Parts: sequence; structure tokens; C-alpha cells
Amino acid sequence: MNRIQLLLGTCLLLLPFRSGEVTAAELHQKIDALLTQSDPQFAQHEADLSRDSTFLRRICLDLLGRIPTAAEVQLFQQETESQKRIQTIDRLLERPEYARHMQHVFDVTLMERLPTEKHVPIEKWRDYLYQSFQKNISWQQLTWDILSTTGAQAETRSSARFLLDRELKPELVTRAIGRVFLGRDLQCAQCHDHPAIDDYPQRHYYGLVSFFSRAYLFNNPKDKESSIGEKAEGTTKFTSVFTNEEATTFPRILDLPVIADPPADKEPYLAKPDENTRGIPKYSRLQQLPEAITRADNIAYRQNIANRLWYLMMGRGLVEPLDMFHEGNAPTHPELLKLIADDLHQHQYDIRYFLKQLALTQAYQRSSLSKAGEEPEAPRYSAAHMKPLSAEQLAWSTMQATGLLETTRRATIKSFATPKKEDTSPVVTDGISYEIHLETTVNKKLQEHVTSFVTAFSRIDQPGEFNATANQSLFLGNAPLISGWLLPADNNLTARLVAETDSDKLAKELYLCVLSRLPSPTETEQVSRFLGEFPERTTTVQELIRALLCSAEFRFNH
Amino acid sequence: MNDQEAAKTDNAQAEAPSDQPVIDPKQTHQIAEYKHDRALTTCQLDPQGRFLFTGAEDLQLYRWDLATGEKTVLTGHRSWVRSIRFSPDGQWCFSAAWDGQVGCWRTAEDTPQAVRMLEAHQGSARWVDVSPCGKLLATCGNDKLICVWNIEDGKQVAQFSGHQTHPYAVNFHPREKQFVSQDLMGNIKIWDLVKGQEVCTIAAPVMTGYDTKFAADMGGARDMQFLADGSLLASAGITRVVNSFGGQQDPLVVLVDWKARQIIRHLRTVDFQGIAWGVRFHPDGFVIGAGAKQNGRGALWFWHMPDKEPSAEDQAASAEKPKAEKPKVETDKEKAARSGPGENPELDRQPFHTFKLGKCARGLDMTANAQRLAVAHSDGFARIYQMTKPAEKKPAEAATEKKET
Amino acid sequence: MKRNVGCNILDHTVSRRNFMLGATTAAGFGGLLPATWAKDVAGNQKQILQVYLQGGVSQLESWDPKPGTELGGPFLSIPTSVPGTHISELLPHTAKMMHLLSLVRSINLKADDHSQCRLFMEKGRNTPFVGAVARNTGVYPFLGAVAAKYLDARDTSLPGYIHISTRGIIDDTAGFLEPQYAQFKLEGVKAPENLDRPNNISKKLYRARNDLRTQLDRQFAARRRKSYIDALGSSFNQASKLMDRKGLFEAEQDPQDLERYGTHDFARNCILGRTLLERGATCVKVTHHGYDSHAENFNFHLEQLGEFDKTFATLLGDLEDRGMLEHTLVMVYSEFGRTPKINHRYGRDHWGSAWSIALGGCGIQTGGVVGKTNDKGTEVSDREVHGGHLFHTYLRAVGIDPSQNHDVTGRVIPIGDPAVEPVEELLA
Repeated sequence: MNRIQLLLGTCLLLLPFRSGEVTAAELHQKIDALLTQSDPQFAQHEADLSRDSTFLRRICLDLLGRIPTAAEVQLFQQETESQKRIQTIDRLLERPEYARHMQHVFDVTLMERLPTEKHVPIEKWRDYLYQSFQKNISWQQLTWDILSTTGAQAETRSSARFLLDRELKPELVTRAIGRVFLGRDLQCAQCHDHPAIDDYPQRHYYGLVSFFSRAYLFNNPKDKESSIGEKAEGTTKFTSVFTNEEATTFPRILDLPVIADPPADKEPYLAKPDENTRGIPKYSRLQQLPEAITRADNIAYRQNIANRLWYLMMGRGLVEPLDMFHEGNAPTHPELLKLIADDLHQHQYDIRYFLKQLALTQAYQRSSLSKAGEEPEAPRYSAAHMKPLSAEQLAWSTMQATGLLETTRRATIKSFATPKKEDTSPVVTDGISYEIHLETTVNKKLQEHVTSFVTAFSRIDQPGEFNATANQSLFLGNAPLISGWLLPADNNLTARLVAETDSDKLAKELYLCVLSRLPSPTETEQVSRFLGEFPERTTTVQELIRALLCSAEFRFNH
Repeated sequence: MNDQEAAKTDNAQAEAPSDQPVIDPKQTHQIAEYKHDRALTTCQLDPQGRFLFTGAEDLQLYRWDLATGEKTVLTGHRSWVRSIRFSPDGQWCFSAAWDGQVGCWRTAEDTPQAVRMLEAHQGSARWVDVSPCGKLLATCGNDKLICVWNIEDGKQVAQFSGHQTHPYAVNFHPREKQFVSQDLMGNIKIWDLVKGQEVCTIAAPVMTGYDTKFAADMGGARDMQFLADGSLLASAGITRVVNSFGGQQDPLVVLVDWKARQIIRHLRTVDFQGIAWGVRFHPDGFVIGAGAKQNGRGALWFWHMPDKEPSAEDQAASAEKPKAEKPKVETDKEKAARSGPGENPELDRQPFHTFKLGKCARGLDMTANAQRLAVAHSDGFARIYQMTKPAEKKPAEAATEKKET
Repeated sequence: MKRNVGCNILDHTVSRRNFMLGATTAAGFGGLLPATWAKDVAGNQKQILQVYLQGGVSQLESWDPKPGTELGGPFLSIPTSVPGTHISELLPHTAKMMHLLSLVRSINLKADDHSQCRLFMEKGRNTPFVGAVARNTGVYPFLGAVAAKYLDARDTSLPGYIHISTRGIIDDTAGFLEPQYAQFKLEGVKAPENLDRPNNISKKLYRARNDLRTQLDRQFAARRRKSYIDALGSSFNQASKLMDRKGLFEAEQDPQDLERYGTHDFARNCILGRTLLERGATCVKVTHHGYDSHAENFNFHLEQLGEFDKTFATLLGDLEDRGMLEHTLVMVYSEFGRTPKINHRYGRDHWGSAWSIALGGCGIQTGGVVGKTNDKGTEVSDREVHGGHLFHTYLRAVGIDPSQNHDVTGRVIPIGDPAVEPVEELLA
């Protein structure tokens, strides 16, 4: 490892940061207490705390979406500060890469990798998410942004993708709102009460539909852009296909009070709808949705997001599937769910705060190695749960491990320092803004590689599952894209390893860069043996790196 | 056009007194229509100017008395009629149909019965033409064969194979003992009647297109006609395929120089996606096309003959311009279609006049005096259009202007 | 009491997540069957050949012609090898093989959207979807994925469900089943991506790399969740096997086959499909593009069915000659038919209301016709069925009981829509 890398690693870890103080009886402590209390045999199964290198790798993946650099690992291991884990969590949450990672996570949650961009370009939507997480916009505010926009105003159009690119189709929008914001897949209740789940009656489905049943996609003849118009009239009726009973409903979230329409106005419109005018009623049912869904007595709202964020960090939901909250599918830890949901609500749905609290738990920081001789049973949270890397995490981690990310960062920093004459972008001097500018530029440069990984790993794994296909393994093992990153160049990992004659040092460098830890003596020996078996140095080193990149240890967040 | 027709045209011109109406395509207007209850597929006027024959999306051939509007049904086919032709003297009418048969009818019989139904092809019979001498028929069909028949006894006298894809039309040369056929891939084959063999193939890839999305070829002559003296061949069809399953391609008429065996003109249209279904040479020196637009409307187009073209500047000034209000952004597919095989901007010509039709045109013919056009429409109507200035209406006439049955 | 309504939506019976070792994980092609009915399909090495005519083949120009009628179009019908059964003149070769097939002429999907109808026909359920690609969590699997999971593979080195198409939509075909049952897509006779060793390294080095990876995984697996690591290892093993079978995908096709089948893409794909079935692939799907003829319907069906007819008849004949029809279900289907009404472009539009498919081979009573449409073809007049009925029928034909449940991550879901039954008249 050279001085520049060490310096860069130092910069990444140290700038910027806040004090890592933690006050007593915080959420994370209550979480651990509840987990311990809920299981009399907890102590028996309790795994050790994870090693520093393991913790750093885990928290970097969960908050930045990539593995740490070798320098970051070494510095962290050498750091003697007792609060270093807390401080690291704080630092990582401030990084632009945190916002980028959250952008990926919530893009998939909200849009389910919908490939179409009929109305709102994917890049604008992603940028909206990125900026939101950069500013630590609360989940409540995000909900408002997404569900209140009509797409008619330029400044808020980006967040309209959720509704617009589902074409405002009731069956798509209702299902998405139910799943993403309430943890309930209500699609089954469209035609009748859910036959197996008492908690999903048909009126819940149509209570949601009623919010936007008067809304429609308006295509502006002038600029051909679509936005959401709304009529001032219309009733939501539904009939059960089994009972033939007819009913009507006003907008309503689950079993919360209905939101009745105000008395009829002689002039119900601010703008009357016609072929050239987007309808704007004085009273909009659609505009009642954000308030209705985020109101304090909507327990489903807080429980859903708490559960999803828990799943993000812990690898398991307290309720699984994440969109199947109902009486017959009780949470594994009901008190715990209530605790975290209420706490999140009390903290105004501050995602950064919440993720920090989860990261501070022992449950999060334990090793994934169970007590000897047993396969860990995850619902106890007595050991950390292994999580497969997402397509984006795999992409960024592979680029990090092979050195492509570092090379790109260095080149970008250099280009900032010596801008071309035709470069008219403003010179950024402020530290935080510089980092954002750097991250955004690097992200843009490498986005197409991320897309390649997303294409190869496009299936969204179910919570608690891991699925691998032959195509994915062929990609990891053979894809020319990755082979290109393994060609020796620009002092990347391959180049450094090829030049390294000491096999112990080589093994150390290799393991730190790819698996974010030091090798064991056995592993050092394995490396040495592998290298000694084949005469052609460069290709052997490439295959050595590839073996680790294809390994389970790299593939999982453990 | 055979000798008789050519002679009629020549006579018509020679005999035209100074008070004859002046042919002016820009004065084109409808003067009559004949209603049928099914979409029409083709039409043809008998050389003696008495009748209009049409095919339709049913099993019959229809004869319309142009004077009275009376409709006579000719029964015998088992499927749609695709092509109709007459003997030079107009005594006989021949119809090729999708049932593979070619019907032989006496044109003017009170209730014509098929004198003969030739089992001409395995699968559909796509086209029929009559030799200038009036003794032979040429047909083509979905068995990819070209057949020549003796009209008198209905026997096949020759069979030509060589098309790799389905031939869509055949046409006898008016003066030489040769005929042509054109297939789906645009290949125009010239056949020698005497030697009984292919003379050559003129490739017209501009008249075909492969739709990559649907993995299908589109092309084929929808109509063909020789100039009276045989020096030019016109073929109507399509070009620039963008989405053939959705009807997105351009109509095209190509002119082929017979002696040079070369395409010398691409007669194009403006703001029109669809198919050119008919083509006729007008003795006054222009070419007429008829087509169906993707949206259900149609058009008659009028292009200058090559030897009557104005100068390039005058042409540019008079040619029709696209009506798009803002610049149209071309898709990649459209760009690719515009630079496909056979494209040559130097051969492109725009019409000097377009007459819009309310419904798709699927067939075209011209009266012997070259004043009127008959068009078979997709709405079941056959309509007659006059290419002269409308007569001034007297009040009594205005009320009964259109003749309908 | 909960009503067993057999709605076409997943998760009607959802239990709490129940971690089951093995049953939910990737463990080689084939996977583990739920113990309760594994014995029912033990030794069941049936196969499926799906020939998908993409875009909606016109029933009036194929299986249910109505020549000479108002809406029948210009083509005639021809007799077939089954006395009394006529099909379109555009299928002369297939007509001679009709004794190996049966027709269903009475399908009504009550929809005419490409995606919705295609998924209905593939999954046996009329499920909602998001956008052009069904990527929702919890979607039903395609028939091919179901077959890959529950039928015993004749050759575990091949993916259980292979789809050969020169282009096409990327579907989540495995749904809630394990991903190794998803379609393995081949773009025509081109070999799959990434089958070559990187940088042309030697086999020995490649093997050494894999061995090292395996060793590292073994070390890593101690005291960790074994099922995940096994799943990953299994996928690499499968990948290696595919690399070893690379020749299968790249081999020159027999000139005699090319002469008999034709040399167009569909012909080549069918030859490859037959080869894969011969080599033991469980389900092979070959797509023929395209039939969505909103314009020039008759000219396009002439061309497309011209390609299809001889090739398919040859393929069917080869399967018969090789004795493969005894254990191979054959399906020829689309997502819907085409409107009887002919539009001004000589086109026919989408029509899910009264259309046809053809079935043959394993488990099918051949030489018959099930269902009727009225004289004009504008509606089903007898024995209306939809994608759910057909799905049951396919499964029963290959020995899978559609009333049994999938067992995936604690969800208990019937394989076939419990509200419908198979078309018994079709089953041998």
C-alpha cells in the first residue's frame, strides 16, 4: 500500500466527523435489552462481538454500499479510540456515498426496478432521491413529496415518478402505496375481501383507491408532458364478486376514520378540466393522501418503515414478507416492533438517526459466526445475519476491490485540480460540497458498470432468501467487464500484486483489498501455493483475485 | 396498356377538339360513387367505358353500370378477388382471386356466368394480365409460379419459376413478347415468352423492407403498368419500413427504364405513411398513384413524367412540403429506413399535386379518355374522380349531382 | 371458514415465514420437492416443448378457419390427417400431422393486452404486473419453471427451462420459485454469454481458481448459514457445467436437418430445441416472431406461417420418430388470437375472446378438437376455457398434480388455480 492510498484512506475516514457521544437509555440499548429478555436462552446462543475489520466492512456496505478500502481497514484496526465504532458510524452517515446508497435502496423499494421512463426520467428521479438523502429528508417528508406532487410543477416533478410512471393505474398505484407505505399488499382485496386474511377487507383496498379515483393523467397538448389532473366529482363504488354486495367509500386509510368530502361548492374548480386544461378542483381527494397516510394514529405507517429499515440493517424483517402485515403473520418480536416504530415516529422519521441507533446495537455488531456447532437461527438476533450484496453493492465493491474506484477518484481529483479551459463548472472549495461534487462525478463515470451488474443480478431477492443463478456466476467468473478491471494498470490491485515479490505481503494486500481483513496463516499459505503452481505471473494473480471476488465471503455481508 | 388501349388513348388525344375539357389534376373532384357493403379490394374499368368491375372482401366480382349505377354480381369465386383485367376489345373480363382461380367472364352479358374458372395456382392467384394480342393470360400466385394461359381453351401454355418469394403482380409488355413480374423482395423479373425463360432480374430493394421487431419482410408490387410505348414500367408498393405490422412505411412508385433495365425514378409522397395500391400513366405526361394511409384515409398523387419534369428550381418551388409545425424528430428506425438498400436521393421526386381521399384507396384505374379515375375504397365505395374543372352547376343539377345506388 | 376461491392472486394463504432448510435454496438443477408429494413425481422425466407464436397468431388464419364467411378473410381451409378437421391452407405440412395434435378452439381470456394475456397463458393466472416486465415480489412462476422444478431432469447439467428466441422480453419466469428454475435464455443458436474462460486462460488455471474458491467457501462456511453458501456454490457448479456444454450451443447444425427444417432463424432454433430435448432439457421453449399483424394480416401470416409450418411439422415428425412424443408435451400457443373484424389496413387486431391453441404429445388425447366458436368467430359457442384451465391441463399431461401446493419460504400456494380444472377431454 502506498502513501497516497494511506492518505486518501485517512481523508475518507477522518473528514468530516462529529463527536460519537451516546446518551444513556437510547433506542439501541432498549433494543438489545428487549432481545435478550424475549429469549431465555439468548445468552447461550449469543455470538461474540464482531471483529473490527468485520464491523467496518459491514457498516460500510450498509451505509455506503461498498466495502472499505484497505487503508480504511488498517486505520480502523489501529485506532485505539474506544468510541471508534460510534465515530465511524457518524462519519459514514455524513458521507455523500451514504446518500447514494440510500438512493439505490429506496429507488428499488419505491419503483421495483420499473424499467420504463415514460413520464419522469429515471435520472431525475434518482437525483431527487439522492438530494433528499443528502439533506436527510425524513421519511415523512419523502412520503409527502412523492404522494402530493401532481408533476405539473417543474421543481417537484422529479418525485412524481412514483405515481406517473405507474400511469396512475388504480391496480398498480394501490398495490404500491399499500406495500411501500403501509406494509400491506392489498391487491388480493381488489375483487373481494381477502379470503385468507381477515385484516385485508375490500374496503381497505377501495379506501386507498378513493384518494385518486378522481385523478387522471392529463397530457398537456403544448409540451406533451403528462401530469395529474383531478375532477371534482366521482364516487368510489365497489362490489364483491362473491357476495355481490355493493358499497361505496370515501378516502380512507385502512380502518382509520373516513375523510368525507366537504359540502358541494357551486364552483368546485380552480381550473375546470378540458382537453387543454389540467383539472384542479378546489377540494382535492388526492391531496388528502399524504396527511392521511402519515398521521400519528396510522400505526401501519410507522411500523412499515421501521420494519423495512430494520430489515435493511439486520437482514431480517420483524415481519416477513415485508408487505404482509396482518394478524395471522405476527412479528417475531412484537414489543420490539412497537418500540422501534414508536421511536422512529417520535424522532420525526429521521432515517439517519434510526440507522445509527440500529448500527449501535449489539444485535447489529455481533459476529455472524454462531456458537460452535450450530447453524445460527436468525430470529433470535443472537448472531448477525448474513445478507447477500445487492447488485449495486456488488458492483461498487468489485470496483473498489480491483482498484477501479480509486483510479477513477484519483483521476477525477486531478481533473478538478487542473480543469480544462472549456470546463465552465464552478470551482468548489467548501469541503463538504467538494466531496459531493467528487462523489457525483465518480458515480456518473462508473454508472454504466453498475447498470451491467444490475442487469446481471436483476432479480430482487425476497427477505430471508438468497438466490443465485448460473448466469450470475458466469458473469462474476467470466465477464469481460471484470476481466478488464483485473488487467494491470494504473497501480491497481493487479499491478501492485504482480509487482509484489513477497508472498506474505501479497496475501495481506490481497485480503485487505478484497475481503477487508488480514489473511490467516492458512490463507497466506494457500495464496503462496496458488501463485507457485503457475508460471505466468499476471494471469495467475488475476485468477487469484477473481477467486476471492467469486467467494462467498465477498458475496455476502457477514 | 395494350395496343388497343394505346390506340384509344392516342385517338382520344388526336380527336380532342379545342372545346374538350382540359386535364388538370389540381381540378380533380369526385363525380360519382357506387356503394357496396363490404370493403373493396380492387377495381378496373372496361375498355369500352361501360362498366366498372370491383373485387371486395367477399366471394364475388361486381360489375357496375357506369351510366345507371346498376350492380351485377358475378358468382364463381371462393375467395376475394385481387386483380381484374380485360381483353383489349373489352369482350372478356378476367379475375384472379385468393382461391387460386382465375375467372373468365363475358363482360357485357346480362347475368354473366363464369365461362371458365382456371385452377391457376396452388394457394392464392395474386394477379392476372392480358397480352396485347388478347390471346394469352399471365398469372402469378402464392405457389411462386408465373403461368401463361391460352384464353381460348384455358390451357396452360407455359410456367415460369424463379421467384424465391411470393410474386405479387405480372404485366405484359405492350410491344415486345416479354412480360414482367415482381415479388415480395422487390425483384422484378423479365420473362421471354418465346424462349420461355427468364431474361434478367432488376433488383428493387427500395421497394421492400424487413421489420426487425416483427421479423418479417414487407414489399411486393401492388400494381404495375407499362407506358403505352413500353419504354417505362411503373410499379406501386412500399418503401422505408419502420413498423410494418402497424402500417408504418412509406408508399412508393418506381419507374423503370425498360431498355436500360434500370430504376430511374422514386416517386415519393409527403407526410403519408401507408401503401401505394395503384399506378397509371397519363398520356398528358404525368404519373398517377393511389394509396391507403395508415390512419384510414387515402390520396391520389400526381407526379411529372421524367421527360416533362420542370427544372430543379421550379420543381423545388412547386413540390409539396411537409406540413409539420415543428421539426420532426426522426427515430433511429426512421433514419435507418431512409438509408436502406436502394435509396438514392437523386431519383426521388415529390408529387406536384396530391388529392386527399377520405378513405383508403385500394385500387386505381383510368378511363380510356384519360379524364376520369376509378378508385376502389376500403369503405366499400367505388368512386369516380374527374381530372378536369368541375362543370358549373345549374340549380337543378346541384341537387342530383352524386349518383348513388 | 376461509373460502377457497382460487383467485388469481398470490398469497391467499400466507403463513408466517417458516425457515425450511433445503427446500428454499438453490441446490443444483432439480431442487428438493416437498416431501409430501415427492413420491408422486418420482422418476417423472417428462419434458415439454413450447412453441410460442409471439404477437397473437390469427386463429382464422391457422387453427379455426372460417373461409367464405363475412369475416373469414381470403384464405381457404384444407383437410387434415384427422377426418373432419380442417385448418388453414397456410398450414399444409402441419395438416398432415394433425393426428398428433389436438386443438382447443374456445379460449377466452377476457383480455387483449399483450403482457397480461401472455402472462396468463404462461402462468395459468391472470396476475397484475408492473410495467412491461413483471418484477413484483411474489409473482407466479411460468409453466417452464414449474416443470423445471417438479419434473426430474434427464440431464442435470442443462438448465431445466430453456428459452430460445432471437429477441424478446426479459421475464421473471421463476417468480417465487428458486431462480435456477428461471428460463435460461438463448438468443437463437448463439452460445450464452460469458461461457468463455476469461483472457483465454488454461483450463487448469481456471479449475485451480474454482478449487480455491470452493476451498475458501468451505472455510468460510464453518458456523455460518450453510444454505446460502451452498446455493452460491451450486450456481458456480452449474456455471461450470454449462461451460462444459458450450459445444452444444455452438455446434454446427446438421446440413440434412437444415434442409428439412429450413435455414431461417426459427428453423435453426427448432433444431437446437430438439437437440436440447434429446440431451435431456426438461422444458424447451422456442419463440417465433412475430404475428401482431395490425396491418397486412394476410400477407404477413402467409410469410410467418410459411416459415412455421414446414419447420414445426418436421420437428413434430422428428419427435414422433424418436419416440419422444410419449414423454414430451407439445404446445403451440400465442398470447391471444386476432379480431374477426378486418381493419382498413387489411389487418386484424388483438382478440383474447375466441381463439385457439394446439397441443400434442405426452398425456394428450390427440386428433381431437375441443370447443367451438360461432360461425363468424366472434365468440366462443361451446366449452369456454381460459389460461387457468389450460395450465391445469399441461401439468396433468406431464404428471404434475396442479392441486398440490408449491412450498416456498413458508407460503403455501396451489400450483394451479384452484378455482378451475383441467380440460379433461384433452387428457389421454
